[in-house]
Amino acid sequence: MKLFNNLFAYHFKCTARVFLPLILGVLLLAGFTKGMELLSKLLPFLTALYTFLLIISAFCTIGMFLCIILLSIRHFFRNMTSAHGYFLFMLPVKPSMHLSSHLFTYVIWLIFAGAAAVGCVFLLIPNNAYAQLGTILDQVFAVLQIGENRMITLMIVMVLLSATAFMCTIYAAISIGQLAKEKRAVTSFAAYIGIYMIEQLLSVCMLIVLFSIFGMDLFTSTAVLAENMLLSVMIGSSVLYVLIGTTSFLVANRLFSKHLNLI
Amino acid sequence: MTPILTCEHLTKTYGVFRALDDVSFTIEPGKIVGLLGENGAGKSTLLKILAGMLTKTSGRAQIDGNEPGVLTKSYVSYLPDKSYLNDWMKLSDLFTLFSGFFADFDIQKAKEMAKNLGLSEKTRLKAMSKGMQEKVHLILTMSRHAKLYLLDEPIGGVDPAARDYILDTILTNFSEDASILISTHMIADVEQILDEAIFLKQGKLILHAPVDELRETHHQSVDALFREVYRS
Amino acid sequence: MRWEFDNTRPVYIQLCEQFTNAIISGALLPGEKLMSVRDLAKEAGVNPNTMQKALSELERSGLLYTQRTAGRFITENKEKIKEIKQETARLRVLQFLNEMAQLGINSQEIEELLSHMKKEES
Repeated sequence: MKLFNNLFAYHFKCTARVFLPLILGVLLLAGFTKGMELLSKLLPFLTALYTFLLIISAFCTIGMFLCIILLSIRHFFRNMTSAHGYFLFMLPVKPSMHLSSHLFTYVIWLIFAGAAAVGCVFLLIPNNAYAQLGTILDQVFAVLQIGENRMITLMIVMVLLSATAFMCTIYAAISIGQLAKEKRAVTSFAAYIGIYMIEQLLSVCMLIVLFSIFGMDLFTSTAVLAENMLLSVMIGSSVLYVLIGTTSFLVANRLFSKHLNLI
Repeated sequence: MTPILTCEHLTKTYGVFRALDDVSFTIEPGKIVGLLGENGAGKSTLLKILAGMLTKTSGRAQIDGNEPGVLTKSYVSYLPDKSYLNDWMKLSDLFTLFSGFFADFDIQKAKEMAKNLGLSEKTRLKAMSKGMQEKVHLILTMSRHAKLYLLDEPIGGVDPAARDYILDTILTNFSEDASILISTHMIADVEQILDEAIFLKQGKLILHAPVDELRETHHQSVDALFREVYRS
Repeated sequence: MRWEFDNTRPVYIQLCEQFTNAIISGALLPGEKLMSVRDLAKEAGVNPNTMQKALSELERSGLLYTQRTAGRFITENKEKIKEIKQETARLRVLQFLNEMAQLGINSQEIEELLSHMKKEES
């Protein structure tokens, strides 16, 4: 446990150097945009600047997630396959713990980013639109006849599972890539394509299975059927993510344990 | 006395290429052994397998009775031939890092060695000269109370003063219960501190003998002998 | 600070020679206590095992002795030291005479040369 804590602290510290300023920066930008919105009501000539900032902020909020995902991948690739790998692999630590500590760090940052994104959305929505947003959400939930809390929780769980499973497949791809003596990044990418195709295949299979259970009558718009359908797809997807994630994790673990090839 | 390191028919292949070819030898505790050979002879490959950075293709390696793995990493201290630490880290960060992960890390010893070099603990790696960075890497490796030290080209590419410092540090940290395996292609610079020499050529072990014995038998320095053996 | 060694000859033999020379010249005094093997090895810049071997040889030849708890000491046997000094001198002179003979210089020429140099000194 102590080793895991130390590892997590190490990864967190390494990534915080970039991620913390990134997240705070995006929040600050959203806050600044909000300020500009209020200011532009007093000084109408600022409206153009405000609109510009609003667009930039929106892109930055989305870009923040992209950055975190891409940089997490880079962090893992660098730590496990380049010269930096010497450090991690000289530690008396099982490869599974290297995988789980990287994964845990990534998920923590995603949660922070998610919280920041929610904050940004609230900041970026113009004051007069708040009421409208509430109405829209209520209508959506009414149509689907699912309790808001249940839906939101399920969605968050799904998003996290999906993101985690995705990262696990990346780990598996990189673990395959490191088997090569040269062009390891390219090999990892090729491996990922392969894994992605298998993933898609499994997803399609799952959907086919679910549709056949509920009958192919997609056009029946009875609310009850739709709710069950949606729930099943969501639960089915979650199960698939867990399956893919776990398998990828095991593959990566096996390769890093028995076929380590640090250059 | 049980050997601290045993290799039996250790082989590592990359497709057709044999990086290590049927290498067998034993090292007793309390020895400083030179792993000598030209670039590409398989020295780094051997050390990496022993350190657990690479998996062997066939054969056996045992360090104090255990195959390279999580357990051996707790008593094997490895110095890679490349810089492997984050260069934005401060010296104090590195000390804390190593103490957190290695139970046998002697932080007082490390601090003292750093002080002797005139280094402030607040200095970041990237602010140091290359020679100083190499010394820091060595300090971290030698501050562990390990049973086996694996040093990959510790003196390659450093100035003579740094080289002397490195050899001194190795001698100072010598212990009768531990052994040190030093790989280098700069044989003349290191042969004075060696107990035994292992010659590697194209992945094969061609010689393993005590150094003074070689001198007595061949009336040559180990360096000269190696060149002769290598040419044949 | 590192002692100079000829890498073509076994180092432990050279260490023996260096210690012997220091003892017979008086640089190391009879009864003097030696540093630990590790410290000596570090100062000389050699492997501790090699230093240990050299010291064992010196003990065998009687120039050193070990007191179990106290450490290693230079022998206090002045006779022994004198004996080895004379033996060393004899070997060196023999070596010198050999070299002179190879140059074709006979013993008379050597004696003349020696007395000439002695006169120059005073």
